[in-house]
Amino acid sequence: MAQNVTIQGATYSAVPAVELPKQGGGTATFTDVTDTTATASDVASGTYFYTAAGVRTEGTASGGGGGGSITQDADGYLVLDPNGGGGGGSGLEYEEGTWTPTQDVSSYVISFAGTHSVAPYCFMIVDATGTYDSTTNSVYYLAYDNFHQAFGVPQDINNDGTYVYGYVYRRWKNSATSTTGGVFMLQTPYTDSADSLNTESRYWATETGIKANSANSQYFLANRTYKWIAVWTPQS
Amino acid sequence: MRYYKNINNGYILAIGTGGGGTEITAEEYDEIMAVIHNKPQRTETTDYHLKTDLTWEEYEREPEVPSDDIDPEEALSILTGGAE
Repeated sequence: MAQNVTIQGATYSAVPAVELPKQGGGTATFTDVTDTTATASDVASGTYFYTAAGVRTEGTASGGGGGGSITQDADGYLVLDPNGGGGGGSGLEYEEGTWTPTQDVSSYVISFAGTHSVAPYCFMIVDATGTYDSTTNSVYYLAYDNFHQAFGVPQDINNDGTYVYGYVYRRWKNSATSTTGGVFMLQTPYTDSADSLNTESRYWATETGIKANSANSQYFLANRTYKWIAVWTPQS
Repeated sequence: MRYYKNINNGYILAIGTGGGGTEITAEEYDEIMAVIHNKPQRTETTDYHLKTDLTWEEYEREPEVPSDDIDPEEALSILTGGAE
């Protein structure tokens, strides 16, 4: 913080730092840090800062500003805290879970652990089982984008550079990498009795639509583990 | 982490993590998952239900009912609420 200082009888106003000659040459800069507001928990662990008292101090924060942990896996994808729940440094709140059916089924009710006052901002469920050949099998994900009131993330469905919303599906490709079919997620939230969209804690994920390249591919398949995540903007 | 199972009429329909279902321990979850990974191979005519005692019960599959194909534009229209 800039200070008014007096040196050899002369007063200088709003001086942020003083540069003094060092023994042997060069200069050293002394800066007033009395307006420092950071504390150790604000600064990443392993790095240092100076407190308002001028004390060199190591930070203690981990992750993005002390929020929830986000890691990067071997494939380079960012992964939220695998233990689930809570929220990260972004302030977004999320729930996540897995689901492994023992039978092929055409629908699934997503149950959230908490009660939320609004619908999820976005939702996504992926088939996390097995390894997929990008040309002969599925690239599987379903997503709900509440901001655009549509399921899906932009897809270039005509390969013409025009991206549209609401077109998310399990994409099946043949050996020539042409899309031969897909499976959609309905935009209908699961409701019963007095439940409403905004208070419902469950969502109805069902597959329908285009017939895929397999006799049973219109269903969530048995013995596969599906991972899902729902994200909310913070609610007051 | 919370583990759960979905049970209906003596059969385990699914297991998972997160909300919903009947809460189970991590050990039970792992035990059921191991059984799921060793499900007998189904055939054109038979499949298997997982009973709550963690044994597989064979049953006769219903024949596949072909569904109508819809083109991407129609599907998109339905999804975005523009279907006629």
